[in-house]
Amino acid sequence: MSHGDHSRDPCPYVILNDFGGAFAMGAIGGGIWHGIKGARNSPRGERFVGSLSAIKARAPVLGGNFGVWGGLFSSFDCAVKGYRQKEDPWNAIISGFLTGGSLALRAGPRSALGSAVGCGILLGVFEGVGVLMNRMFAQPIPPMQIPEQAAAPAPAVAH
Amino acid sequence: MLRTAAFRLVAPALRAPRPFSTTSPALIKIRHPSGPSTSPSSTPPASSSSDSAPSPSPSERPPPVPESIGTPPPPFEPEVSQPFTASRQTTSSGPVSSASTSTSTSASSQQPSDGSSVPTGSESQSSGAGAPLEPPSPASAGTSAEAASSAPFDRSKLPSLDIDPEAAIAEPEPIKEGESGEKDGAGAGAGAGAGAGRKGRTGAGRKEYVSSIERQRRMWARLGLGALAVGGLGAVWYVGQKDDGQAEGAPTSPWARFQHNMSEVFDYFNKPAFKVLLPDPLPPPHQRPYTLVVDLDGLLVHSSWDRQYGWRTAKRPGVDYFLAYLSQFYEIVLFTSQPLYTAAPVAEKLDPFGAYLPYKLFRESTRYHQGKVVKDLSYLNRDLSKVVMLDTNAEHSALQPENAIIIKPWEGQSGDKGLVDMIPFLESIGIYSPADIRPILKNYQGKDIPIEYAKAEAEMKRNVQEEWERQHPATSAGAGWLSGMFGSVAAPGSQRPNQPLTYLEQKRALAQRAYQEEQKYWRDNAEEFKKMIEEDKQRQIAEMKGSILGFVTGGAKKPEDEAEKK
Amino acid sequence: MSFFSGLFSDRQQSPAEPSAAGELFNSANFRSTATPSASPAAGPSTQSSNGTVPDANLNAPPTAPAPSALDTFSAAYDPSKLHPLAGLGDNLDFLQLEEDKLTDVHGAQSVLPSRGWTDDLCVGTGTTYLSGLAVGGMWGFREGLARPLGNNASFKLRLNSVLNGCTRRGSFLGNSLGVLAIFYNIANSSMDAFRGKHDALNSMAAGAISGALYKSTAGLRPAMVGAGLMTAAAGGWSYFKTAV
Repeated sequence: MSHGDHSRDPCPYVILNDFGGAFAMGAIGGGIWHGIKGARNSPRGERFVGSLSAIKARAPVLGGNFGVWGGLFSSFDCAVKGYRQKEDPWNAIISGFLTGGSLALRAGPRSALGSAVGCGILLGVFEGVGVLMNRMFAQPIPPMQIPEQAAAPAPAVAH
Repeated sequence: MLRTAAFRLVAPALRAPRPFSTTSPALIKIRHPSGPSTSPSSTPPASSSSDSAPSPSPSERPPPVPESIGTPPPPFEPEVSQPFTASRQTTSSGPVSSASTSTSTSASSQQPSDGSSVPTGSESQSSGAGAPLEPPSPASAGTSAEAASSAPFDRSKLPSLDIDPEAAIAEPEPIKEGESGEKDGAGAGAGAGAGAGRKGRTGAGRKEYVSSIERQRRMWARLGLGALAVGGLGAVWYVGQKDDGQAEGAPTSPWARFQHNMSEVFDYFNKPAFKVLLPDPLPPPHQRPYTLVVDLDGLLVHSSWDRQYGWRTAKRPGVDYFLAYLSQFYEIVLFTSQPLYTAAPVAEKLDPFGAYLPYKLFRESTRYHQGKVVKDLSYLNRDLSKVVMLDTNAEHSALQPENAIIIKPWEGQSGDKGLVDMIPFLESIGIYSPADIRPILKNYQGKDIPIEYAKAEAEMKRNVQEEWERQHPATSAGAGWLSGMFGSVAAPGSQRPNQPLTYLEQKRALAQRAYQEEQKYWRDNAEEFKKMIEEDKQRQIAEMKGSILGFVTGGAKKPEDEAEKK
Repeated sequence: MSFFSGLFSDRQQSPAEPSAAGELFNSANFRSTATPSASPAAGPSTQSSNGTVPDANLNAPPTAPAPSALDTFSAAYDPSKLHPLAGLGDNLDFLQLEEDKLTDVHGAQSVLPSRGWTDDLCVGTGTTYLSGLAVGGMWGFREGLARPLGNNASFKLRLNSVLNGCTRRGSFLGNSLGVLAIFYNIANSSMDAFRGKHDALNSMAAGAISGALYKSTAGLRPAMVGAGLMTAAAGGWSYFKTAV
């Protein structure tokens, strides 16, 4: 397997990173979102307090949801990668499927299946868009022009 | 709920044909107990039968305010459902009344008539078709107990609020389950099916009430799905019809045609991003006669991660020499299955001046063949008889195995010589310039090339020496030509004078000298080149920022920039 | 023989080459009786007939092998000896890639390599959140086990109670710790960037700030208490880092 992408740590350690990243995203995003929402829903004069209390109540929960989702996804991703020994978009789709299913497991098999399929499709869309972007932005190599003077002595021993 | 109740209040007459329960006196029918026609299994303790009991169902609006309060309200005859009976004819006419009073009274007598909250099953046999809300059993029990007394306005006849939340207002669908007489359904609950009786207060498992809007929505959804299915089949058929008239292996059956045409859609993702991966070869002075396609990871570099240093990329020992030396004979093309954004920085560091790796191809140029990443050399725009591919993974060359040399991947250990070991073989191809390298590679298939080639070269060298010995018999050292041969090995330094170099060796020597000169040239002008490259980069960044299209096209490099780098 | 013509004239294309190449490349099945002692070429010679003397950089042929007739004695052949300029050595060179560069704030090395403040934030938050989930989960597990469920509690009921307890306590503790970790990491990274170096003082100050911030809405005293607790925790963590 090629370890091309150096922006992510290798598999066991990347789960920590993903958990934290997702949690931070959820908490900070949730903080902003619920801050504004709380401020808007509070009577004038109490806006700041209202916003603060909304943040305190809801932002950690949102962060926790995001965090669990991201961490579960990452663990499944590592597991699937370790099992398949390949790196391709199907890893992400399968992991999404498993994540969606396991998060809705307590609601019953049908609900779990629905959630799993939804998550899988969502990740399929992500991956497809990613591949599309890669292809669209790929530039063919332009033809080289013969330099006016050879940049290198070009010792052409071969003939 | 409120809306439906209001609606019901406003236009009761409209629903005359429908078996709703209404509060309109016009629609309230006085029912007589139908006698012991209840199913034997049913045991309606307190049937919701209230023949004359004026107890409205709890969710119904109270009866209209009479003109004068003095007059007693008209007897209120709610529609109550009866225990499910085999005979359903009564249902058509609307909610039927409950079971026999006899049974009801007998049952009710067992119960406290004060409307206690003892759940009396019974009743709610939502007799299928449009059973109205049942009055709760205690109330009905109470009322039925006092049926005879039928006081005008009896508090005890008021319905208790202990209702079954699952009670359905109207259920046009026929009930499937029998035994509506099942006891202890919670409170009233006229929902469809007797499942309520079994499940207790939760009403779980009962068929839900579906409002008309919901029914409409479901119908539309089903229609839509049906249309989708039909459309999908039609599309399959249509795509199968389209016949491009290809000559080669034109699929005949519609299904095969469909598959063929559909695969064209996916080809966008499967085939390489460009039709032609490399630009046309340059004219002879600049173009090397052969092309060497190398992989990146496992061949030239190796990435590793550890807790102390994080990610590190190690260069294989001798990689600089390999690239610099062989670029005299080959046009070296880097073809890797990593995407551009991960491999381009590595390639840049490997070859800062852009001299040894003139072309770099990344994952966008690979192809998906039967689910595997494959480097298809036929897109290279080069003569395949002069292309050698050096790779560590046999899958990558699945389409042109005759052009590939597969060597073991490098796992990052130091003191490795695998790359430099390959140089003699590759340089001899360059020196001897065979017309087609594929038969040569075929000869070496499955063998350890460095060793095998070294043996072959040793053989050749030996032949040359023998020949030379024959022509120049040894005059010194006394021993025969055999000892001369061995002697050259035993004492490495004591080569016999005038020993010939093979053609190969000579060329090799020339090439090595040329390599040294080139290195000297790069060293001397390194500063200049670095500056030029830096200016290049700055110009590109400025261009990208300046142009709107720069974002869309990702900053395509102009050709003169490429040339300037050379 | 062809080699002589090659020897005596230095020409571009010689008709002899195909045969030479043929001999080289077709004799892959090497069944000769030549002993491994035959040197694979590149013997240095101080002079040769046509004067194309290679310079003295070329090395001697490979080491002397055993005089057995084993052809596949691969130790005898060392093709890399033909190219001494390759500079083969025992150390590994590493490419200096920008994206792999670890953080260069002095003293900021942590248990896992980090490339900057984002890595610190993510890994730190992830670790504390996970440990909060684990500890809270255990707490809730015990709670769920001990919950009174009535006379005949089935396995499903008990399982449900345990799961409820785990998710309740686990998420509560995890969320709280995670938020604390976010505050701490942001404060820590800001101070590192501001001061240019990292030491235990940074950690503890960041701990104080985050503790105070976390409890700030409850009043002054709880805020101080929180700050004190977090400072102690940060100090403990710094100590632990140096020990690992």
